[in-house]
Amino acid sequence: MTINNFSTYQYADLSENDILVCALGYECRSYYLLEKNLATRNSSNTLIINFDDLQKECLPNSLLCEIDALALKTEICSYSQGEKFQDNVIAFLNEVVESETIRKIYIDYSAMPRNWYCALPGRIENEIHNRCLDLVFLYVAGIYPEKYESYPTAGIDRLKLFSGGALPRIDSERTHLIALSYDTRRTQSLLSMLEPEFLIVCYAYDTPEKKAEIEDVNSDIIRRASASVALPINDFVYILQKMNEIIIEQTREGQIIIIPDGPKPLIFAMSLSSVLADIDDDITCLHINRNELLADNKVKVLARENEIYGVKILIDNIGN
Amino acid sequence: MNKKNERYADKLFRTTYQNPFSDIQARTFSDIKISSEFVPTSLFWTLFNDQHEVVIGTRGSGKTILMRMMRYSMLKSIHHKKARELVAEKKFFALYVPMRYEFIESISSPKLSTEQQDAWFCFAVNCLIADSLIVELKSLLSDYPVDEQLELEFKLTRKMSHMWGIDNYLSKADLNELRTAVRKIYNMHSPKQPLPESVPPVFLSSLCSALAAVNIEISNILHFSTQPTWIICVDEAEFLRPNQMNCISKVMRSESQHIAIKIADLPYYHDMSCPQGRKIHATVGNDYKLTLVKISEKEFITLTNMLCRTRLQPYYGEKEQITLETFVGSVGNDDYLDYFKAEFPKASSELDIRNGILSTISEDRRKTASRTTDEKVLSQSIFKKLAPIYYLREMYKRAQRGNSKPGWFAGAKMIRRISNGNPRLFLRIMDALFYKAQSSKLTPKIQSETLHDFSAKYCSETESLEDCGPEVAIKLKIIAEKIKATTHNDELKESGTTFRFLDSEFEKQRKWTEIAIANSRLFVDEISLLNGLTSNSVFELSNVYATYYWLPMRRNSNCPRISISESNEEKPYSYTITKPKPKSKQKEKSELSGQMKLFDEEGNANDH
Repeated sequence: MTINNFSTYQYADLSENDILVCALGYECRSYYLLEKNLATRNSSNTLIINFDDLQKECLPNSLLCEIDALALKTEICSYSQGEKFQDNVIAFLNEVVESETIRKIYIDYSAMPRNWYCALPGRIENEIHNRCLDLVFLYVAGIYPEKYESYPTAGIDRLKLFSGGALPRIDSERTHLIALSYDTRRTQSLLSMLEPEFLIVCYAYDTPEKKAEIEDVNSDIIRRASASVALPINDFVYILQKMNEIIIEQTREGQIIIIPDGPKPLIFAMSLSSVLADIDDDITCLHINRNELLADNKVKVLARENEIYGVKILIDNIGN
Repeated sequence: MNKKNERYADKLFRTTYQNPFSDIQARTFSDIKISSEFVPTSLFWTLFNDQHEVVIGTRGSGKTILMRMMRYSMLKSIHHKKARELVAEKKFFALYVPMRYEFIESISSPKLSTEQQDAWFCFAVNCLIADSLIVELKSLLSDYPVDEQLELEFKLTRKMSHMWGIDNYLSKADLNELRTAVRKIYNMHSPKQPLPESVPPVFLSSLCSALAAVNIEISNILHFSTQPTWIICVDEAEFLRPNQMNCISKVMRSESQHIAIKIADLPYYHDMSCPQGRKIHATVGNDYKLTLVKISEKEFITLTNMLCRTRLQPYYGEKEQITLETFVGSVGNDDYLDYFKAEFPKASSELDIRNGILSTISEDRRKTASRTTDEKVLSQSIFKKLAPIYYLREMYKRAQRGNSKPGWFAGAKMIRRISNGNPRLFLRIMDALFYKAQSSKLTPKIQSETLHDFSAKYCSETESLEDCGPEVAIKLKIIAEKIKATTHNDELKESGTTFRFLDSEFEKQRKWTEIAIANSRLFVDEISLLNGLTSNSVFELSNVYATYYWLPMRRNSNCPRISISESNEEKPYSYTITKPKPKSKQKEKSELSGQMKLFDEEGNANDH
């Protein structure tokens, strides 16, 4: 697996030979890229995953008509069905990658839950053989409302293992690497449940003002942490490298638990780093899932025009 | 040398030292650091017995420190007669076995059946016990003469690897290799798959079977005079699933084999008597004992002074006598009256206070007082009982005046009171005070402001408690506001932080109160803590809440029943995330230009 940044300026309208996988939900940015590229979409180059609780009235009527007219392939998955989503994508890709004309496979993960997209590169690498695949994961930045309601995590029931799970070492240090977001309540909830040992916090930013905002909102947590790392959201490779450095350092004589949060590129990079590090033991990655008992909380996030963060993952399985 | 009444905290003014109190988690600390700060309480010594025990304590109450310090390797570092006896007698050996969240989550795959998960739990815990055992044995061996150590290590490794059926995994017979082999066997298997038959049977037959297979052999090799009791200290039990807890309760019902289990758990997280449909369960009294983590006032004074000394001494030099009292300074005897007198010097004679109390109690009570001829009865029933509340009310009135900051929440006694006997809370308070001391002199007014601000933050963090944090926050706020109204409005009367729920409302409040108790926002009587909450349970708001809401930090003998029902019971409780507003350019400009402040920290005109 080779990973490179895919900057906005490299992004061009998709051609007919590009595959697009996206998820449609109540967030406007979930269909932003699809709408921009309808002209080149057809039943064999597009896979749409609808959330099982999607109410079609939330989507523009014109888009629904186009999806029908173009007979775009659709599947349905629930929020927690990460494996089913990955199965659908792999089945679709196995059908289409036979064609020699396929250029890139774009996966718009702007509206996807983390249990869908984080494990996808690994599964594709393991299950699609004898192909060289150019995956591009795209994330459309969102405009959040000034205020919105959120619900507390349902406690440990909502914290799921993504990777790892080592036998504890009672005589060595244990580091928690936790990402910050604007939802300080959620972070504090995690801290009160997990009661971290050595705590490192990280956060993503796109402008110096955003960096200052995150630091201000999380000032108490940052002050209590042993170290904090600010990461530029537009440089996926840098984030991966930084994560790798921290992992190697902390697992020299201890264990590390990684808990991604914040914007999806940061979640994606932190999750990937936990599986890509060349260390067999001592790394664990936990994912925070939403509280499904209170799933009617829908925050309308608009797309931030032309602010798209991408990462290119080349999977070369020729001969495998 | 500290002059009388000088605060050591003042020497931190305008320094940039790293805050030594920012490390608050016992799990963060190296063994050396833990043992340097450990104060063995009476509870600690009572844990060395051969009974199974469930040790119940709220977050931050000290469970982990107790569990970790029971280990032989840590006992050796405690300078106490009882510790020396335990080390010399070798009647008890404790192993620390933490049920860390990620560890438990990894062996609880939903793809496995309950039986398969139980097998995994058994295997994993046996590996963890084996790992912990090897760590302790290495410490034990270091006490033997050097010329015996190698031979004993060889014998132990050979015997243990043979009994565990893992001889083939070792390339040489030393404990480090044995430890590596155990971890290798663990890592060979994916927790998403059922365990194969190739797993050494001793790790699967029952919980603690790996220890039971070797404990007698270890005693023989090391020539112990008696068979010791091996204490398995299971920490972080709040992460265990019910079926996993049931595996542990099975062990508690079986023959001990010189093994005793101590489980550190949060209150109300597990019901050991409710086996989720299984027939086997453990019962309190017969199979295990319930023990509460508690610390006496005297022990807490010793502990807090020890923490101050060990963490602050590097900043002051070896000869300085660092205690909490000398760090924050004191006013008189640090009693309520002393701080009242400091704030109201012209209205704090005994007569002033008596008149003040008499003028603010109810008419009926005043009449009763005027008819009472026995001064002792009068003093006991009115003045002594109501004086602390009177002081609080007057301080609160002063605090409501613009630009006025009374020095009420200050001094060592108050800091310990607010900590409610919780070491972690104490460290957080000290973290806030140390931080403040670097920018301001820690006068009583500044201490009071800092503690009030800390309490505000702590109360707001209640929203983030797991599962029903917002509900806990709202309901505690309702309760605190009601007690505040009783305390400060109308006439002076008895008041305090204790209350009960209305009978009719109690069941609806159960869930959130259990979370609040586990997280030290609420306290409850011991019987309710051990046996479960009932409508007669007496609750007490934490003193952090009492600080923020200006409530008397005392029990109310009337113990009122409070109603907190709301019209919409079904509404899920949420919290609001607000996008931070960009700082105004004006404010930024003033910060950059170093604009002079017109008032100093204490609200006095800055005329220098």
